[in-house]
Amino acid sequence: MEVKKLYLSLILLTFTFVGFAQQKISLNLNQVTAEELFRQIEQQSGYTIYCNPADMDSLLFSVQCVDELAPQALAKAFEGTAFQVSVYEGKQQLFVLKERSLVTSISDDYFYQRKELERGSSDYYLLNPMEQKATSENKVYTIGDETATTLPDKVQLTGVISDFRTGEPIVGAVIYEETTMAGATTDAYGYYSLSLPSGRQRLLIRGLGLKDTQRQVQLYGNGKLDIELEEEVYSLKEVTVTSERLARVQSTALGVERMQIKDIKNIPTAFGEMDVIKVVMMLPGVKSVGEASSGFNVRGGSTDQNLILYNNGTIYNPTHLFGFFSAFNPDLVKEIELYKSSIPSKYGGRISSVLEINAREGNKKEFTGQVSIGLLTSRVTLEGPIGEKTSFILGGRTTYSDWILGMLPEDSGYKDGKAGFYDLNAILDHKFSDKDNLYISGYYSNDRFRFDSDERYGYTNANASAKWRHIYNNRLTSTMTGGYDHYSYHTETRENPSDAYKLKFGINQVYGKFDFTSYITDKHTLDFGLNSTLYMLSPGTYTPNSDSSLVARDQIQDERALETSVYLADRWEITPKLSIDLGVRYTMFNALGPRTYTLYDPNQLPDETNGISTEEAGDWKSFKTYHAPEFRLSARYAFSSDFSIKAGANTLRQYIHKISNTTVMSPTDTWKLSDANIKPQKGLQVAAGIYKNFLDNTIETSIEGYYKTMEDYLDYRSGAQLIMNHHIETDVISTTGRAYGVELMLKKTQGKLNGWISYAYSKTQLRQDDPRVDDPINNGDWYNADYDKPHEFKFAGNYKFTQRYSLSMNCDYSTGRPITVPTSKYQYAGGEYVYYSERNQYRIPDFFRMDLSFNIEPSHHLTLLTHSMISIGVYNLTGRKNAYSVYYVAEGGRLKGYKMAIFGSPIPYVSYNIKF
Amino acid sequence: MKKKLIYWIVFLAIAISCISPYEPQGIESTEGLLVVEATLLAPYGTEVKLSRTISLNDMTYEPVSGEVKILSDDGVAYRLTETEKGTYTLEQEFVYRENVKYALDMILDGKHYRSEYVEPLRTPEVDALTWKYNEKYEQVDIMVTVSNPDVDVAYYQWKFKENWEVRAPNFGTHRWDPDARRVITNELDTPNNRYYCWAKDSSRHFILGSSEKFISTTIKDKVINEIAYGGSRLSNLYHISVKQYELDGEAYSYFRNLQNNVETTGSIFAPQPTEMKGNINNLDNPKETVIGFFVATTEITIEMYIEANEVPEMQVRGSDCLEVLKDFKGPQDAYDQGYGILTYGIGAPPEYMLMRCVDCTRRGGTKKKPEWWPNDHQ
Repeated sequence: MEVKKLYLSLILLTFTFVGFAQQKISLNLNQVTAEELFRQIEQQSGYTIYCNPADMDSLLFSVQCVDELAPQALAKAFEGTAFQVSVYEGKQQLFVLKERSLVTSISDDYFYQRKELERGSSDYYLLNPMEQKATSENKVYTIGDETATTLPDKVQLTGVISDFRTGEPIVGAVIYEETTMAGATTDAYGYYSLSLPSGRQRLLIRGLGLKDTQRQVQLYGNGKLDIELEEEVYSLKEVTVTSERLARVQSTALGVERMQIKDIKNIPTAFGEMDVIKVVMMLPGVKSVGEASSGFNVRGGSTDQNLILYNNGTIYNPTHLFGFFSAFNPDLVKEIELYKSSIPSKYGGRISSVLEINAREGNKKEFTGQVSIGLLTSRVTLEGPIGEKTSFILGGRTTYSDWILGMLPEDSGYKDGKAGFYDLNAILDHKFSDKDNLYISGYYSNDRFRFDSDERYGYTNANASAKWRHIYNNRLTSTMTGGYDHYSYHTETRENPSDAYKLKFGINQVYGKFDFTSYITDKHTLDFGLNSTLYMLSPGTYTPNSDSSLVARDQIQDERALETSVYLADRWEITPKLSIDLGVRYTMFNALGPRTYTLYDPNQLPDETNGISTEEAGDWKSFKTYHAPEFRLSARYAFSSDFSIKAGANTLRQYIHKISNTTVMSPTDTWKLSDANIKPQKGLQVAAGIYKNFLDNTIETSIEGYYKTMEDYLDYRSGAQLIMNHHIETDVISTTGRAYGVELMLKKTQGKLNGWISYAYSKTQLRQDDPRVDDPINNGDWYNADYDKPHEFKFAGNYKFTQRYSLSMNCDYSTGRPITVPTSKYQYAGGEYVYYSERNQYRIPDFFRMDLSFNIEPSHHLTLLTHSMISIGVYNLTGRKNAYSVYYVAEGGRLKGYKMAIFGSPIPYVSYNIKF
Repeated sequence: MKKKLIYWIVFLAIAISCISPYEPQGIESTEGLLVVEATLLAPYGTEVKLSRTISLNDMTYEPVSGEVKILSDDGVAYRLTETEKGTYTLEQEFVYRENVKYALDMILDGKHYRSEYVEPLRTPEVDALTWKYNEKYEQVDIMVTVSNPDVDVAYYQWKFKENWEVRAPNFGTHRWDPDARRVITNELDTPNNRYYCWAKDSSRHFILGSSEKFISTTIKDKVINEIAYGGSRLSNLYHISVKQYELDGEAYSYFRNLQNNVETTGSIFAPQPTEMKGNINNLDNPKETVIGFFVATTEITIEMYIEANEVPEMQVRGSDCLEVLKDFKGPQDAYDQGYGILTYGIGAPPEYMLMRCVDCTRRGGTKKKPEWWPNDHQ
């Protein structure tokens, strides 16, 4: 014991270094003194020998040996005596002690205790719970069974990377080993799975906004290593953050844009309100029809072809107040992912894009909150831990924009109007164990408008979901999700009691998803699973809204359908440079009764006059089934770690359609499920791209080109009545669409100046090629779609003067969208009327807008009770009256031409944000 | 219903937006298309107006002439006579025969046009023509109530003609005659005054109604005209004559589309304008666009008067017709500066007022009094 203590200070490492250069000696000694013996050995081998001379001055030694290691030779000399030889390899020292041996290293058990499981198991070994989170860069962590006799070639290392301060998992961090370039990116749960050679390894970890770090591991077998990373706070030096850029070049997916909330917070938007949807619209390939549009168009797709998911719930109307604000509280959003081209096999049901918005988990370490006050909206967020394993977030947002209506002129008659919205979020995250995690999310939003005590209009989004994540072993994980989505709107009038009415629409969905990810071998990762959604849609209910109203009650039959899919996808790394992603998704859609429907003469367009039979479907009986496979393929060839080319092809189908005859997503658009008369929409996209990063991955560039076709896209007929139409199939036509384009993007995400510039050229056209149509639009030729804007240039940039002051600017330029204009006029019924051109033959003037904002963070002390941020800016700096539409109105029987702009002048704003 | 929804959205946009006059450039004009406004009425009143579309920049309309007939499907043809260039009427009395359909037939510039054969419709009597003061918008709403027991769904069109007496706010005893260059006395008992005038107007757009959404064919209190505050219609006596026509569903859809194309297209949620096909075709070239819809129906007329003192809220108040000025060099000087005589006589200096306060011709009126006007104002 004393010896141990005595030599403790000499011990620096618990590892013995094997392989130190060892000298071999030869001895031929006869009856020599200890001193002579020692001298010979020391001379030949370089060792130093220690002893208590008093013990051996009377001894004489004889030893013969040839090419022996010094310790062995010395031991031979003392054989049969009471002396023992101890070796201290690290220092090339030998000790000769009477009847005792010197312990020259601390026992392996000294620092930790290991539980031994049965040998030969591939399960990992639990470290002491104290050691679960690897927080030190210098400590070497042992993974696996150290006492195993054989080391495997490859070892599977898994774990979760989380934020040191809040305990939240970190998404998109890259952990890799430099020499073999074996790497992995953490998924949505911060989970990574990495295959490495056994032995001593050094792993580098990079995460956006986090300090670059490393971990040392000694790998004996498969094991787990959870890592906590520190946030990179207030460092004035440049930070080399490469995870995002590596991710883009390395991944097989094309047309994917990932953004973290930090990227979103600095982009100036109208009224200083951080807006997730507006940021999405700044990305190349994403267009909108105009500033008041609540929908967006991705690569030539219409607004209903985007699947918008918020914590797995489908959102039908992603904005508040006609597109001025997004429906997502930015304080709760963690990241957004927009899939424009390669849509992963686990998603389906829309043919143009998937926008996935994921909320954060609550802070697991301490209770915090944020309050934000802006010109038009305010929000509050509270979060914190509940016990050791649970965390929560509550968020709320509301508007008080009535004041802007109060500014309207008296004689507009709408001075006393009210427009408002609020939304509420509640998230609960519970970790049962390392293997099981439950995430529950609830969202509710409500918009209501009341202009002059007459028209009232409102809509509601409500979503609830529960997600259970289970890790079976280090190669198989699964997520099971279930939820309920609801969207409804209503409009009502009361002014004239005789025709006061109320119109309601609603859609409900119940869904369940089982998603598995299996890291079968280090070359193949399989994703497979099953999704099922039950739709229940009420297309319209029209009721009288006063006692004396003569309105007849009318209701369109409810629609029900079940959409079930199974999918299987394989990410196959054929060689480290070439990897492909192959996926198949098979969907079956069943339209369910009760329903009474008409079948029409197939040789003519469905019309009230040519129905041939009326069918009835029973309750929950399937009366029409559509089923087909969808293919998702993409491939990447990486010439080097910063240069790759990719190509992909996807087919997709959509079974729910928005029926609208307005250019933008209007509040009264109706949705319809496919049934016996409405076929599913089909889409096909092929795309290819070149991706190169420059200057040590600080600048990302990409060029992507695509070609898309759409079939059975629903367009409406002339004079169509789309509201409360019992036979809406008689007012719509199947149209074909095509879109193609090229997108160029340059992105810089570090340094004082960061942001992106993009240019896109694209065309989107539609054609009515159904031969049954008598008088097709544009005579059956291709005509421009409403959102066809060939040239588009976008710039979003942020310049940090210091850590406290930064300037943000964005510019948006695009060709004017197509419109249908009058081309001549005539007299009728005592007034002037216009005759319109073929659809979308002309364009409104080009669109250009520039916004600027200045962000100030008054104080940066980490230990202050509250942190605040002020943002001052101008929206539409140049004040350009970007035409939203051009039209003619008859005034007093004469026509006058007008141009309407949404934001016709520069709009300054101030917003204030406190975090506590 | 949708119209109101869209209008308030437009007004929200006004607060922070701009609606500015604009003329799109580079439009390929579709002038020269045939426009046919044709209504067959029994017993009298049939009228067909022919014209062509003109470019948006032009101002004058050119009527079209040719041969116009009404055909019945049992072989009778009725020729219409051209009363004015481009306007054709049926002089004689016309009676609809049982189970007979009628079509419009025209030969213009060597091209032969014919409409589809339509079944004549019978227009019901108007149940009530009423008016109400609308406090919120400070206007008078003129409303119609009607029902039609003969059909399942009723579609109506209305037209109106207004005549009203314009009374100047003040009676000027004299006026300056710029041609004779002298002062003339205004006489209340002869037309030689500027106190009483008359004006007229008529409907300039489609006024349509449908009972599709209602429990019966009754449409109650449908506003067909609005008298805004500040005009001269209710300065003394107002008369409106409303004509009602029954339409069928196709004609209604066609006209409603035409009206929407000039009414709702500007707003954010405007539906895309489209052109619907009418029911008149060029027999040799069915692809030729012909604008218009031939309708065969009957006409029901109803009228009413509204007196100014029935609607005191509509009297123009707080105007500057209270200010009396005296310092002009003479009546000619006042006239040149836009002022007219209020009083003129020996003994006191003349008093002047803004011309439109003493002269009803400056308020949109003329001295042409309709023969049937029920009072003896001159």
